[in-house]
Amino acid sequence: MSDTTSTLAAHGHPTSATGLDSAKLGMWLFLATEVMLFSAMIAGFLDMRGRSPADANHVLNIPVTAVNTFILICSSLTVALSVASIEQGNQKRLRTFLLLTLLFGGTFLSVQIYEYNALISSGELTPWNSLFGAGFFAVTGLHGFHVFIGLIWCALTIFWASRGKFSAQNFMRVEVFGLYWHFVDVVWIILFVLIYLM
Amino acid sequence: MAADTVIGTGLVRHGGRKFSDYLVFNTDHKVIGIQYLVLAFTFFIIGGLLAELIRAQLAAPNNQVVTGSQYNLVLTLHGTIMIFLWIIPAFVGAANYVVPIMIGANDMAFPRLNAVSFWLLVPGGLLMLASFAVGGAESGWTAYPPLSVTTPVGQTLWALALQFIGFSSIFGAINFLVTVFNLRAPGMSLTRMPLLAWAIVATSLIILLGTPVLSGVLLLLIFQRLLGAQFFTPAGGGNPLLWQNLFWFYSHPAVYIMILPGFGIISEVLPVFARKPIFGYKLIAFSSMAIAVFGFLVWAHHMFTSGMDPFLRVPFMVTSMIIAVPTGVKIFSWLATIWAGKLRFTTSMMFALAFISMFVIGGLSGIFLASVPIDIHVQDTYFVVAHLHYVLFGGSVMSLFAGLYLWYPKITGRMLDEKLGHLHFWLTFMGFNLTFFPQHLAGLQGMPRRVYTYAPEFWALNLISSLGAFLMAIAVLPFLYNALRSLVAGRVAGPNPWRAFGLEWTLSSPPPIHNFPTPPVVEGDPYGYGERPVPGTTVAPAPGVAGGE
Amino acid sequence: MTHHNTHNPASSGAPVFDNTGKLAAIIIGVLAVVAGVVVGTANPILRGATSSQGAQIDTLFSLFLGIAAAIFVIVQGFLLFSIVRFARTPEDEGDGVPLRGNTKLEIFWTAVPALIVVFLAIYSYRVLADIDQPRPDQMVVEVTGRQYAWEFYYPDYDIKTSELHIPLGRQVLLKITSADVNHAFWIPQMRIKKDAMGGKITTANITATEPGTYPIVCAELCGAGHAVMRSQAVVEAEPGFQTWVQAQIGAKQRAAAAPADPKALGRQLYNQYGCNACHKLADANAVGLVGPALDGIGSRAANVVPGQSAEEYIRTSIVKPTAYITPNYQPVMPGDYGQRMSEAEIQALVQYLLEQK
Repeated sequence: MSDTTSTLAAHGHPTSATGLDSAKLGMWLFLATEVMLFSAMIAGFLDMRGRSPADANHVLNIPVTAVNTFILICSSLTVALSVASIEQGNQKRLRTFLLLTLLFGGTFLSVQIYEYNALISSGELTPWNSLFGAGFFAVTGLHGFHVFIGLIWCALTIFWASRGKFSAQNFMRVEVFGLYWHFVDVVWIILFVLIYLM
Repeated sequence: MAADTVIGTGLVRHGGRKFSDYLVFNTDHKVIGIQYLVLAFTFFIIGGLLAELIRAQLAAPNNQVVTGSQYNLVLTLHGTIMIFLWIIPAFVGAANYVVPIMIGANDMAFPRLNAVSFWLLVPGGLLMLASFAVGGAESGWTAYPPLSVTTPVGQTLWALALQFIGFSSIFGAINFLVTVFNLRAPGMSLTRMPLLAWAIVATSLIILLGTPVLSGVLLLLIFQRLLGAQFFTPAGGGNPLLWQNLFWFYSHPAVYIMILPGFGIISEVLPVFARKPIFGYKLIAFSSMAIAVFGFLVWAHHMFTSGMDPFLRVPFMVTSMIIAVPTGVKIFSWLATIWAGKLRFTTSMMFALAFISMFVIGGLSGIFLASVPIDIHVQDTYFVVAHLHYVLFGGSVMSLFAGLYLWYPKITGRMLDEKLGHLHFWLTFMGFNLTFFPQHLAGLQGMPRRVYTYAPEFWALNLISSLGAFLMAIAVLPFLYNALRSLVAGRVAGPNPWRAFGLEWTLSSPPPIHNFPTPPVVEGDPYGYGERPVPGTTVAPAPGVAGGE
Repeated sequence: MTHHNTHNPASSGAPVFDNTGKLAAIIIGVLAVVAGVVVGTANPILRGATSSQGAQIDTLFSLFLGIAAAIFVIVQGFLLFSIVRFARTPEDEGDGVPLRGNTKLEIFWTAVPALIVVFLAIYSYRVLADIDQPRPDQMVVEVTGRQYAWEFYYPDYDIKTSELHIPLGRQVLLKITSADVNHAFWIPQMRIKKDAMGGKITTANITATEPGTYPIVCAELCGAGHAVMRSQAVVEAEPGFQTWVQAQIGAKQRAAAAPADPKALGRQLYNQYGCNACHKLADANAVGLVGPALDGIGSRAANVVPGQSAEEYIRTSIVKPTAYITPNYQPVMPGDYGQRMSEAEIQALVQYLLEQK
């Protein structure tokens, strides 16, 4: 019973009493908290929209954002493909699809920032000049922040992949990242429908 | 998962052997538990001093200890610190230490996340103290806008501090849930799990689903204060009730975060010192989960006089009354637990018994508050202040002390002095009741809350209350002295000084760094008093039962 | 598998619920009922409400108090009995009886409290519905809370006052709002309370049943002066109330009729800018209690701050109220009068106050 055999690393994968992997269960629980966070922000947005004129969202560029939404959905596809790749042990495809995810995600965020800038500098819609603006920037801003964190995480995952950390038997971290990224995508779809289309 | 060194000299370590191990990023849940407890007690003293300042100001009408503005700052920080930097971290710390061992695990599911959770409290706590130093957080811990929108910059620091603390809480909750679900030892089914583990599951579910909403609404407040967004100010078209609804959606369940671990502790303490199994295990476990669910359905009872939709007050009144039922079930189960027992009045037991007595008073005043017509009169008065302190101090704090007196020997390897413990108990009990019982009457007779002065007719009640508070402050001294002195001079405890069931008592005191050398195999729940021998002892038969089981 | 649930210690003669226990239970039960009835009917704590809504709330409170007293006695009774009866004897290191549960008992103490709270909820609902019931001869009073005073406007008579006067026996509909942050309008002795919020109107009914003067207290933290934001509700029989209304109308007409008179102008400004809400001044018909009374201020002003003339002191007090705080009062006067009032208005007000000898 030496110290080294009883280190945490040796107990790194204890048998799970429920059969569910701890890291995955942890991520699902974390996503539950994110659902509640975005619910609160959406509630705030809806209240502000209810106090605004019905055409408040006409100032938004729906076609551009629709294309941007599609780009984000593509990034979800590529992250799913990256998980499938490493499941089959394909390191090269893993990195390629993660890079594509980074590219698509980065494009989405850049377009969002461009739109923000256009709206604010022209004074058409700002957080301080209208209630709809306040709600809009708060909830989409929070989402954008989550995309930003996701991009950093994606880059880190690519880094770990290039260091050979993953294999067909050990790719939980990629899966967990994938779960987060899918969530960010789903939230955006909901926001797009609620804010731009309704 | 990277390899963790057992002993370390760097800033990242695992295990507590020497003093410096407790000052670094340490991934051992036992070290983290102690770090939480030390931080929490530090803020208990700070929050307590703020309370003494409040009671000094209120010892006489028109007192000049602090100005109106300063008083509002003091009461805001008192409430905020006691909730977010004392009682919740204290329970989390105690649970962090004890729960993994109780379920036969060698650590939490995510040890590094666990350390992160603790260390997030450091910037959180510092920001909170900065907020106090800078001034400005003067709108109560409930921070209702429009007032909280226009208060000076300390209000923003206050909100940022809470964000750090909220993240700490959320990560801790995820950790506890995965730990209890996945890391139970072989044979420990959910129905053999100690009730504290059930309580922590319920608490963690509430934290998981509630705290993010607080984070969201604080974000909206910060957005308004920094960018001028008009979420909450009527002058700008915004809606103060948006704050109230989102805030209370979290903050009501938050009170169950603050009491459920205490309920769990009581369920652990009573069997040990009554030498009887817990009565009604399944119903107690179920009631914890029921409270977690119902806790999310009552929030608008804080808004009965706010001008909310008149009809909606009724369903919230109904849910607020119903939530008394699972709590009542626990009280009666605990009474049945000590019935026909062999009661040993250790300090731990005395706090546990006082808990039952005091929490019932707090629970009963809660039923008054749940009734809309009665609430119309007592909302925002000292009746509420009395209620909340009976449940939070008479309840949560007393149950915490019951647990600390029980597990101190396990954590330190030494026994606390029982005479000093009894002194701490009696001074606390008397001081507490003197402080808060008169406040029920003051509120009913017309004294609002959050006031730095009052009409002369309330002087007698307030003077008694302030004297009681002074006694409460003195009461802490024997505890601190006892806790520190016993570290070096206490009687050596051995593995199981209380002859208790429970996996934690099968390990040395303090436990080895990695807890269980081999995973324990569990064949029953930890309440086998009168049924089977405590491991490592000879059985003492129950009266009328032939021989030892 | 395990030993519990199949092992019934009672059947092996263990003293679970022996005669002493049964006797204790009966005594506690009787005490609980007695306590409940006595405390509930006597209700020394909340009685003597001076409105009809308040009287109903007091009755409801009595019911709750009686039930709470009974439950209190039951819990504390069993607790104390157990502490005394089941204390272990010093040599006894044995375990107690391994009672794990009793389904009937557990159902009982789940169902009975549930029924009690349902009953209390229904009763409360009926009181609530009754309190909110409007009556046809309602009089409307519009209440505005601001930091740190209450203002009352009577649309029926077009008068604005800083004290609430209501007639005995007639239902008054209060329409409450705020000019700034959240406040709460509370008349403790009438048991009514409602938040005052900007941008919306909240309502409360009161029907006074007892003549008298009752404090009005702010019950929502509203800033540094929250504790001193007070006013009064004066209840008189209808004739007395009408006399008061006429007096207010008369004062208002006199103020409007002689604008060239500087004293009348000063009086009008005093009321227009809300000084009356906090500062008592007989000449202006002002009854505010929050700040120092200003009767005789003209005689005192020169001697308050050394080196400051009476005129300087009064002027500074208006535009920079925190410069000097009268002993026993707090710095809660709004500091923006310098911006809100024109120079001419400030001078007129200063002159008016200098005349108050």
